Parts: sequence; structure tokens; C-alpha cells
Amino acid sequence: MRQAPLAALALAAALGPLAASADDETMRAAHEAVREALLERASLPERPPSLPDGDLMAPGARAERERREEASRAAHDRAARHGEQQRARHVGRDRDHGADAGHRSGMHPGDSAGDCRDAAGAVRTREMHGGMEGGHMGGGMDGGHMGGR
Amino acid sequence: MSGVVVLQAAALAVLVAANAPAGGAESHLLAGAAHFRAERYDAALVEFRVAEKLGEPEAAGYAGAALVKLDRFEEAVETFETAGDGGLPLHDYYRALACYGARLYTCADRLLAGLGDRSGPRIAEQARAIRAELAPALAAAPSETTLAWYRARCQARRAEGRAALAAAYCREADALATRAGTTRAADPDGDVTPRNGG
Repeated sequence: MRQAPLAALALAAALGPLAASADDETMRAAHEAVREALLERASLPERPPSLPDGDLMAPGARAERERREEASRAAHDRAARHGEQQRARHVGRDRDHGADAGHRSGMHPGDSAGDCRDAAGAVRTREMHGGMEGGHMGGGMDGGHMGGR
Repeated sequence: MSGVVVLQAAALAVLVAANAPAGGAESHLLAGAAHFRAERYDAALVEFRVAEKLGEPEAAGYAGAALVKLDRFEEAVETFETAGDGGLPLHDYYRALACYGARLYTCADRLLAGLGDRSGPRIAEQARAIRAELAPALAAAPSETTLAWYRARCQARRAEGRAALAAAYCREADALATRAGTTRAADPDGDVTPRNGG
């Protein structure tokens, strides 16, 4: 039994290359995992280059930044115009509803959010029925807008 | 009794053969990778630093990448400078981002130019996009104000004992000065006018 440590060392010597190889493989896999993560998250710089005295930004770089800012402004304007058109449509429909305001049930006067919801409901109803009937909500599906009939 | 001894011997054999304690550098690399992927860059940085201390020199480059993600560009430049040339395209890409973030634009451009297609199509495309953005800025002759800024930063970092970072700023000043000389020499009619007191 005193030979056991010697046997262990002999066994270790025999297993050594095998275990080292497995160890190398584990380490290689770990490095590969890190590189995949780095690759996945590799992004572009967030800011354009600017030399320390900002006036020195090259004309090309400045033009590119201005182009981006212009595109951003244009997108903003489009969104604002779209919102304006939506509001205008709602106002038009509210005017249509104006005559039958007294017939509304469960709607507070001046409840503009409610008006918008009504207008949207009217659009949906119109789409379902294929058109307006007599200039008012024909289907009566929108509850408070039964007026005119 | 003999069975116990045999088991102990076997355990010893396995430990000697494995030649590494449990939870070595690879476990920290794997943890760092998971954190990096999940955008927990500060935690990834810690894991990569530990892996580096446990004897994985390549982990220094990974730490540099984490520092870039944390917008700690100067530290990232220092880390890459001291890590040496790992030769990995992905390291060079992150190193270029570190230079870019620290306004070391000629450094960034040089590294990106060296990438070529070694880094795969996506990184190569990103490298081209960054170089395209850098090109106009680098084509213009820098003013004396710009050069003075880089030299001042070099001096300041040197005074702080950050020699590697200081050297990077001094190299940038030299590279820009060379470009300025080249640009001015190539345009003797003086189209490139000094600006900001340059």
C-alpha cells in the first residue's frame, strides 16, 4: 500500500497529456465565448469625430452631421404634420357631432378626449358599414351618437 | 482501508494531471462573456481582470473592450497599450474604438486600416464606415491649437504617471503635425488656411 502515491504519480504522468489537452480545450472554448460576445456587441462610435478645437471639424464631417440633423428635423416635422392632420380630422367630425351634442348620453360637454374617442369610433363604424348614412352615424353602434335619428 | 488509499491516490492523480485548481481563469472568462453579452460591462470588466491576473494575457484585451463599452476610453487605450499586440482583429477593432473615443483619430484610422477583411464582413464594413467618417477630419490640416491640445494632454498624463497614455497623445500630435506638414506642402498656394490662431 505504500506504493500507492508512487502509483498515483505514475497514473498522473500517464493521464497528464490527456488532461492537459482537455484543459486547453476548455480554455479555448472560454476564449471563443468571449470573442463571440465581443463580436456580437461590436458597435459604431456614438459621436462623430471632433478635433479638440471644435471649429476644426472638416467640412465633409460637418456636412454629414448637418445632413443627419436635417433628416431628424424632417422626420419630426412629418410626425408633427401627421398629428396636426389627425387633430383636424377629429375637429371636423366633432363639428358634425355638434348638432347632436344634446343627444349625447354619458358624455360630458367639452370632454375633448371623449370626442376623439367618438370620432375614432365613428371611423370604425363607417368602415364597418361602408359609409355614412344621412351625414350621421348610421349604425348606432357607438352608443352616445344615436342623435339625428 | 486499502480502498480509501486507492481513492486518495486516484484523486491525487487527477489533480496532478489536471494541473489547475477548480474555478480557474476559464470560469472567469465565461462569466465575463456572459456579462458582456448581457451588456453588464462593469461586471464583465471585473471578470476579465481576474482572468488576466490568473495568467491569461489575452484577457487584458477583453478588459479593454469592456472599458470601451463603459466609455472609459483613456483607460481602454492604456489597457491596450500595455496588453501589447494581441494580433486579434477584434482586439484591434476595440482598440481603434478606444483611440477614437480618446480623440486619437490617426491611431484609430491606422488600426482600422490594418483590419482589412481579417475581422469578418460585419466588422470590416463598420471599420470602413468609421474610416469614411474620419477621412474628412483627418484630411484637413490641424491648427496649432489642436496640436497644442494633444501636446498638453501628453504632458498632463505623463505628470500623472500614465506613461503609455501620454505616449499615445504625443504620437497623435506628431502624426497630426506630419499630416499638417504634408497637407501644407502639397498645397503651396495656401488653400489650407490656418484656423483658430494656427
